[in-house]
Amino acid sequence: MIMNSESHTKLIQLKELWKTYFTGDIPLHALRGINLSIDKGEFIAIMGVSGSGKSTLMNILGCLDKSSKGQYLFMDIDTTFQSNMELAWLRRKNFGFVFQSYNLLSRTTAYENVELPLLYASKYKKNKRKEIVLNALDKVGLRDKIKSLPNQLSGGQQQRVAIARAIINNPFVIFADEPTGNLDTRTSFEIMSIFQKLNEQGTTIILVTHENDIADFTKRKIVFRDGKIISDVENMNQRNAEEEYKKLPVEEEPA
Amino acid sequence: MNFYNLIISSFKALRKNKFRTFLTMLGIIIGVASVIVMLSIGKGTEKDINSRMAGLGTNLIMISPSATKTQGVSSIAGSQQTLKIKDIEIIKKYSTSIKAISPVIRATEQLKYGANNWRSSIMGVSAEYLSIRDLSLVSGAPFSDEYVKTSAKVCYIGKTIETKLFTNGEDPIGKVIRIGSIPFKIIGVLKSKGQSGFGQDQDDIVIAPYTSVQNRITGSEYLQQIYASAKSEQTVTSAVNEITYCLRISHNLSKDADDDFEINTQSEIMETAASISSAITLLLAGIAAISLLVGGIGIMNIMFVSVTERTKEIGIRLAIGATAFDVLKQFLIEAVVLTITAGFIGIIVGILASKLVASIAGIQTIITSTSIIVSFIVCSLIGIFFGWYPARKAARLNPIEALRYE
Ligand SMILES: Nc1ncnc2c1ncn2[C@@H]1O[C@H](COP(=O)(O)OP(=O)(O)OP(=O)(O)O)[C@@H](O)[C@H]1O
Ligand SMILES: [Mg+2]
Repeated sequence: MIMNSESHTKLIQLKELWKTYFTGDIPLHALRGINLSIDKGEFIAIMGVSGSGKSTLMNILGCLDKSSKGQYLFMDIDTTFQSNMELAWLRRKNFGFVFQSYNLLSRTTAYENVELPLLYASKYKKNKRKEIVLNALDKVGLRDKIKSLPNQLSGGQQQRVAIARAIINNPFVIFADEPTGNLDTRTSFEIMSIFQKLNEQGTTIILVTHENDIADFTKRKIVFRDGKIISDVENMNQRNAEEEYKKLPVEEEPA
Repeated sequence: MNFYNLIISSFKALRKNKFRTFLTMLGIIIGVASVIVMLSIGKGTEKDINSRMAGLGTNLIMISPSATKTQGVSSIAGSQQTLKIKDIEIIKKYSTSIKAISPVIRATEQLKYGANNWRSSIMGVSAEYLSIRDLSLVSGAPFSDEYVKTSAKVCYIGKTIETKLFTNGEDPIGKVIRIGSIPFKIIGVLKSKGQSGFGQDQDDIVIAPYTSVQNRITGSEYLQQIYASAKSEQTVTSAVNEITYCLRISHNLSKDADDDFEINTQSEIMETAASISSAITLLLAGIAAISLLVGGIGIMNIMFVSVTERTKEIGIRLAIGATAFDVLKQFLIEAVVLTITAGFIGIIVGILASKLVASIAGIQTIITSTSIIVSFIVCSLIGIFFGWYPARKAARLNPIEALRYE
């Protein structure tokens, strides 16, 4: 078997990928022939104006949705021909999701939220699960909030629970659609520093953001417009989120 | 997700909406409880009838004049007068399968003792009647053939008569009561037999020699019935054949004439009673089953509401690693947990309620393990059946659309 030297390390490959919605009178092309390849260990910011197709792309990359035309290869597996069941298995083994609106299960503790993917993907016993969950919560600095319910946590804390949940199964890729969209600058930087640490440990991260400040923490910036990539550049001077966080002025507490 | 975790998470989900869960379960609880109560009443009644039937006497055979057709109109069974003492004599002479036989003459009369009055039925019988009906005496002298020969003005009374006439607790033995206007001396009190299978008070009775009743009260030579008992269960059929043969001869019936009498055996009566009681049980259980069905529809309804309400949750679960099958299992198990919990409560309520019915209404109720096991299985099946469709709806949700749902 001849190994294609170009493709064997590729994590994600998109070839002429289209997504068309047929909900209105005229078909709406949310993605128009995307070609993209992503390596292991990358940290990518996807940018672009509202409606340019960023979320549509993320959903397809995360196998939550299917493309209308073209090819999506994940680790050389053509996802186009996978059944819903196979896609679900693919997701649980390889992907973690972080959403703008956190999407934690309400009236379910932080601990239980983080544990949930383990219950689906593993056969670990309770003690082993506890060890893994606490470890993940340690990574996001929320070990002391394990018994809290989502409505007892701040937005930043909820997002950190969501990140812990996303990393619990050691995914290859984390998809984060505007993870800092609902958060203030300080909290956003905290979240980004968590992402940077995960990326340093080898996790591929793809996130959508509107803010250049946030994109500066990643290694590659891809800009969308009207369902097409209009620019795709390496970020030569990646900023360190932890350092930037320390530089932020501490807000005065109201007296 | 393994089974244990699924059940735990089902309970959690159901706890989140305690009141709604309770209301949903109420349908099943009432359904199961009523099934249990109805079946226990049915079973109790059946046993009751059986034991009272057995109390009629052993291997009882009852002979009555048959309903005759007078110009094509049939009259009530027993209204015809065909049975006479002569019949009994012939049967006694020729039948080998019969242990005892007695005429039965009934009259309804006013009983009087002192200031106390009571209307009751008087039975004129022979001494053998007591053994046929399994009657025994609490006190007094045994029924002697002498009384029959001499048309003695003596009688035996049941417990009810004793309490009605002897209100101040006197010993009735040796006392003279008036039956209609004729004075009879009480020579014995019968042991209580309680209610009959048909709700009659079997202790509201006066027994006297049939000759005395014939000669002094009714003035008729005809018998209302003849009671006999076969030697054993096995000889009942031959006894019936012998009696038929004897009576046809005694009544001079030609070869092709219909019998002018009717013979009923205890087992026939018991069968009829059993079939009536099981029909009643079936009817009661059927009504209860309908309420269970309504409960099941309630479950389906609430599961649909729950799936819609939790669309977002389903989307989240699908995104973090659940398969469609996981989602299906989750909702199906939730429905089954709901119905089984309700069923469990229903069984407890049912048991308590049937105890209550027993003590308030004075009906015997019997809870069988079958009825409990069956209710349990039916509950699980209802859960699966009515939970299936909503669960499938949940499993078929598109992850993206589910996540977008607000
Ligand atoms: N389920 C859908 N049905 C029909 N049209 C859709 C659907 N989802 C997205 N679209 C359309 O596809 C286009 C791209 O949408 P998408 O959500 O990917 O934009 P976006 O870049 O994520 O925007 P934003 O920055 O506002 O999140 C939009 O025009 C949108 O209206
Ligand atoms: Mg978007």
